[in-house]
Amino acid sequence: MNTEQLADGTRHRWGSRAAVLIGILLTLYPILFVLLTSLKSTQEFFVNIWGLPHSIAWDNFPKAWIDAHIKDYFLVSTIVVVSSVFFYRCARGDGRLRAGPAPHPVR
Amino acid sequence: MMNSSPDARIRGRSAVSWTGIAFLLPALAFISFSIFIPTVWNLLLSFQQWDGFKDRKWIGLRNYTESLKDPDVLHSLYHSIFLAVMITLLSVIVGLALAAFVFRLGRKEGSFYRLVLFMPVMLPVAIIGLLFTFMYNPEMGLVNQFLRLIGAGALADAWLENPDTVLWAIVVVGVWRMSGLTMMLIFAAMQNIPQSLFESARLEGAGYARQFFSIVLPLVKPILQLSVVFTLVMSFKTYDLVFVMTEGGPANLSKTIPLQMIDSAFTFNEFGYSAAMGFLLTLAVMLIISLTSRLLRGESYEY
Repeated sequence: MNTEQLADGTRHRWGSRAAVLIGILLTLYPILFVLLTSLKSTQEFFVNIWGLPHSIAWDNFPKAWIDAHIKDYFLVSTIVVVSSVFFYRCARGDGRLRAGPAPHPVR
Repeated sequence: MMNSSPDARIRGRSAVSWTGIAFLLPALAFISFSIFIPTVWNLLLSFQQWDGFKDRKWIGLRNYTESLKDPDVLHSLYHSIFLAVMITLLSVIVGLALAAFVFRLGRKEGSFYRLVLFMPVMLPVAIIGLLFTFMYNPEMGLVNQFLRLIGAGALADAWLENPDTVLWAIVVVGVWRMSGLTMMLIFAAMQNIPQSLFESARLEGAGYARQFFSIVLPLVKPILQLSVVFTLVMSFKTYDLVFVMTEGGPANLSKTIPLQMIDSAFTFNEFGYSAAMGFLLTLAVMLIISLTSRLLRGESYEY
């Protein structure tokens, strides 16, 4: 699709761009906040909640992964997702599969 | 459909496909285990009185008549419906607007925006709820700090503790979460509109706004309907978001039906009552969904 043709003659689409950028800001900032907070130590979180982290506390990640048992929960989630997708695929196969050799691979 | 050779098609028509049934069995087992059996069990339970341990009594429709008289249940039903309808309405409008703007900006630039705008859909609800409780915090929350920064400190509020604002605060979070999905669905539908329609519209001198309302909007109506129904179903079940953010408070002012059900089942041990509430919510959801799909019924065009 040649999207350049969508513009009605005028090339500057600043109105649309501004609207989308506001949406982007509102969407991205909270996610960025999670990321920045994940790099702060507990003390720093209470002192400096909205700023950039002064010293980056990388050890939050291994702490969450091991001490907070995220790795176990992650395994549970993985089992649930993999098995439900697998069974869904099995069920869906029947819609396309007929008796006899499959005429084309079941997607 | 040209997915089979004539030979295979003839055999497949007449004979029962045992292989196919075998493939369906595991899914059937899981679905009946996780959906059919609980639903029937819930229906039976809603006609009984059961404390979760000992003997059960059949009490007919008493659970239903009682819950329709209970102001707590009616309030939480109202909150559920309010949240679902408002979240759906606003997130479809916001998603439609975003899709229109992103569509205008072209493919290369738009693909980045689409990725970012879709991100909230991928975040777990528990994290979103926690995040927004920080944002709404009366003292250090971002919302109030921003209001003070622009000199509107008088508007600062304890958003989640104030009975007047708590539902709207949750609506905002729901819209933040759902509008990316609506945007994606509607954008995908927009991309299927043939270019020639826009070309002829431009030859007639129509601006983008006119093109949007006269061409895009009628043509994406079936997808619009789909996303309304989808968002409604998703947000009717709002439980985790409210639970993480307010736990139904202040008092009962943001309690939804699922929260009320948990309370009456596991705090007051009235399992049958809770099951009846669940069925009432299901009925309300079915009613509202059939109403909206009737209202939004769009003709599909072929192009």
